[in-house]
Amino acid sequence: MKSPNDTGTETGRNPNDANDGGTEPFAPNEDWIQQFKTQCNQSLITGLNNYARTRMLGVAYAGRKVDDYYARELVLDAIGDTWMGVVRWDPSRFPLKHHLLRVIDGHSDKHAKHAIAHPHEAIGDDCKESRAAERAASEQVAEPEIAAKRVYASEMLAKIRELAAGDKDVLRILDAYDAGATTKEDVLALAKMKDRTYHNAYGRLRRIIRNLTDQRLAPKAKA
Amino acid sequence: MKKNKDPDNDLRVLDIITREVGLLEYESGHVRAEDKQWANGVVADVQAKIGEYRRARLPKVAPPIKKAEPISKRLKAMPRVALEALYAQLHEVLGPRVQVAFRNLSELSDNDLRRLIQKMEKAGAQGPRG
Repeated sequence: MKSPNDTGTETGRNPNDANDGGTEPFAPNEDWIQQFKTQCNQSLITGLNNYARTRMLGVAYAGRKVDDYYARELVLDAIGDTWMGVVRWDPSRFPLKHHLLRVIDGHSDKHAKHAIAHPHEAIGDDCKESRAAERAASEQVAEPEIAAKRVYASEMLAKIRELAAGDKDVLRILDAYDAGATTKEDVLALAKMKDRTYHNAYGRLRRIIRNLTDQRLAPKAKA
Repeated sequence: MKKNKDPDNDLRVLDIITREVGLLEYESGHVRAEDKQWANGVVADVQAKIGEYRRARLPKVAPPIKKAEPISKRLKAMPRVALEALYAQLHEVLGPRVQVAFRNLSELSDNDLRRLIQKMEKAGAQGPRG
């Protein structure tokens, strides 16, 4: 049985209304159904699939075997759980797109945690960053799951930096995030970067991530 | 720029990057033909589920069809001219209490006019409501 993903804060879902093991089944009214039917179109689904493919990089590096079918599974689960009322969507508050993106985030995060708790693949490439992260993690935290997750993230960022080698603007963006930036405005201020430079560099960073995603997924998709 | 020393910083950075790039891919990423085909299948499935749900909400048994009351012998014996006169008379007696959905009496068959008169007589006998 699928456990509900709490996206209430951002999607308008009221956790008290959710069918979390309660007795009242989810019975959407005609207005809800009409909104769901209208918004759940081909363009939304292909967009969600593209989003899921990118977001699952975090899960891939958490040791879970991932492929294109897994990205599709994330999308189908998000749609199915919404239709079944496992995660509640309030059409008057948020578009379906916003809600489903958050559900996909929740599901991929849950799967990543599960993959870390039940590792079935060796940790990836040995590199300076991963050794440092592993050492730091093992020194500072008691929970091996969190340590492993940190190692995966460090390896992934090391790989991105390696692929961006020579592209100083992309590296500046990564450095700004490293220094605590969260939003585009933070990056522009910290990296002292012009909007156009940021935009172009982000386009190149996007290609790096897309290539990593394709590399990660393509061989298994063909298998 | 100084690197944030938070041990979870790399997790945070990876989360931001995959989210930002994911959103860009959502808006304008390349969509492969097989993904479009798959998405069309998903839309068809969703619509089929909606159709199934809507059908399931319909009453299982159709409400019984109420048979019209038989026309009285008196009205059956009346010719069209007499029926129209009676209708006009009833209309005057009942006044605004009666609302007929026919603009042109000539569109009504003799029997439909008889049924209408029968209903009007019944309503008149019951008296004004409220």
